[in-house]
Amino acid sequence: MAEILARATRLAVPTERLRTICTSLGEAGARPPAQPTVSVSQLGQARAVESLRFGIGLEREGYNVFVLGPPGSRRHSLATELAEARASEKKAPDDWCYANNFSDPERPRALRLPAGRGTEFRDDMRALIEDIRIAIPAIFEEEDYRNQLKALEAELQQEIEEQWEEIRRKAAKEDISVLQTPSGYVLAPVHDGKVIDDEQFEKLPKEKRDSIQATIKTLGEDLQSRIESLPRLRKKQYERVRALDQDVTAHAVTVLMQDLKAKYADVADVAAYLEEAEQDIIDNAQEFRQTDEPALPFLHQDSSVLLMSYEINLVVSNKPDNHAPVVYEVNPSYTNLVGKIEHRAEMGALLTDFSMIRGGTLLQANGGYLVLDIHRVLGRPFAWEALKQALFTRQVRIESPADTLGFATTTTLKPEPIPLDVKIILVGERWLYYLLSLYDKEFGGLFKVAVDFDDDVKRTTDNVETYAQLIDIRIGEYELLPFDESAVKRIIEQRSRQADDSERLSMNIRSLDDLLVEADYWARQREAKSVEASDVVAAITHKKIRLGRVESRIIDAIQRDTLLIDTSGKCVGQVNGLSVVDLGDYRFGYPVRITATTRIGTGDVVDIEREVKLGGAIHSKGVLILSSALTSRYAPETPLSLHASIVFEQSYGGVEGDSASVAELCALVSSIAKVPIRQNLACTGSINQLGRVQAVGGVNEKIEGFFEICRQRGLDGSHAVIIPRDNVKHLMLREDVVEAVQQEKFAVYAVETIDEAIELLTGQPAGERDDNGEFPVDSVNHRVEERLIRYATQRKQFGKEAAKND
Amino acid sequence: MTDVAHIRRVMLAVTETSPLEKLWQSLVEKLAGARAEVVTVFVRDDTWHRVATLPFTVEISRISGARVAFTQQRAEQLGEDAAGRIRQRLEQLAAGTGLHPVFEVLKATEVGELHRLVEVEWDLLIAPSVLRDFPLLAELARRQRQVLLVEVEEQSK
Repeated sequence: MAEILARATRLAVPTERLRTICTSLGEAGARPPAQPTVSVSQLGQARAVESLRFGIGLEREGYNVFVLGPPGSRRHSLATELAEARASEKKAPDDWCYANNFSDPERPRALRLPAGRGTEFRDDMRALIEDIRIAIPAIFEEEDYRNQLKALEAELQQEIEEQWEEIRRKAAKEDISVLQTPSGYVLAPVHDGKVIDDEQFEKLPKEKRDSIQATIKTLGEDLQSRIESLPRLRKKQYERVRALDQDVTAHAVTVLMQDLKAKYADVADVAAYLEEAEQDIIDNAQEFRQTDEPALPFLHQDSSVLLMSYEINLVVSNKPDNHAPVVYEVNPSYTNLVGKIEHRAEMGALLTDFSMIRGGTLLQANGGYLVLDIHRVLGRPFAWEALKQALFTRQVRIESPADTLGFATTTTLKPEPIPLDVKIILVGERWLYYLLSLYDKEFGGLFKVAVDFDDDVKRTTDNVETYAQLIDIRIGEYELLPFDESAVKRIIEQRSRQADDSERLSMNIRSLDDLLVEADYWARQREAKSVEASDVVAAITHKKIRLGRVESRIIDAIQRDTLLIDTSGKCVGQVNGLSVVDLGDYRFGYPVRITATTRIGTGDVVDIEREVKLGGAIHSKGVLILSSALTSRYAPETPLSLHASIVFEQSYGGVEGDSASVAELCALVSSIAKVPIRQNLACTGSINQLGRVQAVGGVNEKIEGFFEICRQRGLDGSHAVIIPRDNVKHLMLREDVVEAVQQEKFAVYAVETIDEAIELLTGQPAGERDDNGEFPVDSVNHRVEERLIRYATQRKQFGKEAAKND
Repeated sequence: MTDVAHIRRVMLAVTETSPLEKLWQSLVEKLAGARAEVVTVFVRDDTWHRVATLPFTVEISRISGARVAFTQQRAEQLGEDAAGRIRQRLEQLAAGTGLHPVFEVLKATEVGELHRLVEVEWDLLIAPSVLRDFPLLAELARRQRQVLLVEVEEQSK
């Protein structure tokens, strides 16, 4: 017994290992803090930073970047920071405009101009339009123009009159009158200036009658052919007037546009556009003098509408003294990324033109960097496909999604695509990166650079110092009260706790910010001038209280014996396991009763959780491993003639993980050997087939969960938790737990083998095989082996008797 | 010369080709603001009907040059259209003058209607000079009614 006690003492985790206190902040400990070093923003992310620099620096097709890591790890800010650093070395990209395509208005032209000149060009065109609006109508008001127009009109009128007179003359010669009705002409014979009727006509000699009829027929045909030629005359007249209008307009427009053309002669796109615009203005010269009131007010189509077609729609505008853009699109919907074509309702119809084309963030970031959240891109319909298409084609084609999918039923615009040269930086969680890598065959070719952000950083002296500087930066950003050294140290310790590792510091900056802000709040509540360690503790404690409803309900159920947990006495086949509940922002542990029953059987170890489909795959794997461990340890040469069942008592939800396999094996051993297990202990840890105890997650929460139950029932120094030795480095226990251990009211044991766990739980020697391969007679292991051999013998005997009876 | 104050009933005779504005102006000037009953008689000549009796006459459309047989029905329609146009124009001219002319159509061939009009005691008859030989005027002159022939140039038909 003394030997066992000595061994237990040896397995107890020393107090200083239960919580690694932050003893120094290095130079950062000085208050006020020193100037932060450059490395602060890149703390613990050396690999990620190197990858980001590589991805941002390598300007080749497909070398877009995927930043993967947990939320709150400063993925966005670091990616943006490095992208901005690189962008500052690059000049501002070109401006882009959409302008009317005069030969095909449904396909607006994309015009490229050097940075800053887009705005200038748009303003110049507006000024030109204003000039035209005034100058051209004025030309048509000039006396000279009016005289020329009148002359043309008179010319036409004279031509028509001459033809008309000729007909009249011919008719009169033959005693025929040309009578006019409101809609036409009637040829009729006259006598003494008066139209004759049928009676008078019949009285005429036949020759005369025939002659009249023949003349009327000939004159009618002549009249008809002249009438038919009138549209040709009018068209000719229209063309003359049009030519006149164009002549006068051409002169004015050429003068007005002369300076503009010279100014943009060096911009090929614009120079070509101006030539076309000039010709279009001249071609449409007549429209500029239209002053007639429309038949209906809403049908008004005056020159201002025409002038709109010379407007410039500036979709990308950069300042020449700026650098390449870095854009973060919060809502990467299809239209926000690609752009859209807006419509206006007019007379029940949806109309659009080049001026209603709106650029998206792909264009805003063109020539620079675009940062996007991948989960948001994937969550917006068509956005992911549109993004890939843009990257593949290296063009931005602004069209409606319905058009892209071929569902559009109305005529819409097909603007010229704009060449795309942008580096996309996707930010997302790791699982999304792996899923896309696996299932999207195009993904790998487009996002060749993975930037993997670490969740935590080593808690080295240097890193602690840098981390303290990081804390100071965050304090400054949030304009919080100054944090004294004790507060910063306490925060460092909490960051280890949040990393689940005493040797590492969590890099989840969001949770760091929360802690800082909340500690500041509690300091202000007590009207302090600075934040102290107690304020940090208050922040941690109050958060636990705020989120601890579920935990308190479980503890309450245990204390009221609704959930049965013994923390004293001994029991065969029953052990306190430890479970962790993860509520996202908060985790807590609590004990669960694990029981095992055994009898003679055919070597089955039944996991009841698995049988009822409440056990997850990893849990089932753990049970199968412990079955194998049982066989290899105790029945290597005899058939395992056992039927055992293991259950998590009063567990009605799913059970996952293998962290209870040590406890389950101990319960099994206890049941087989009929050796009782101490209920004042709880146990966690997974086991391999050789009986080696392995590390598990959530060890701090598990210890604290059992501690809380025992504390409320009264700590008497016998209570303890058994954990895997490999988990000792993860210990960052609460101060009150550490204090209880210091006062020898509570203990934490770290075990490496199942035998160490068995000894602690049973208080009896586990026993090691001697040179003959046999366990010591009074050892637990001996009893287990003995019972298993007995089961095998009995089973063999039953088998023989059964055969005899058959 | 008839005193304006005694003009109580006036007949204004017009044809399809009469310049209405000039005739109306003569009437207004003659009345010089005095109130009187004005009857406008549209003397509808029979030219269109005469033309329509000829079997070979056609109407050639001014717009398309298409030919359509010129029938009595078309002649009647033209007469009615002309009467409608003249009536509308007269109403426009009378608007604001305080005169409310009654509009009547008299076919040149309707003898009975001619007699009815002759029997009315007209204080003044105003007519375009082209109607100089029209039987109604001759009869009224014979009955010593005051007749004012306005020298106007008829428009061509």
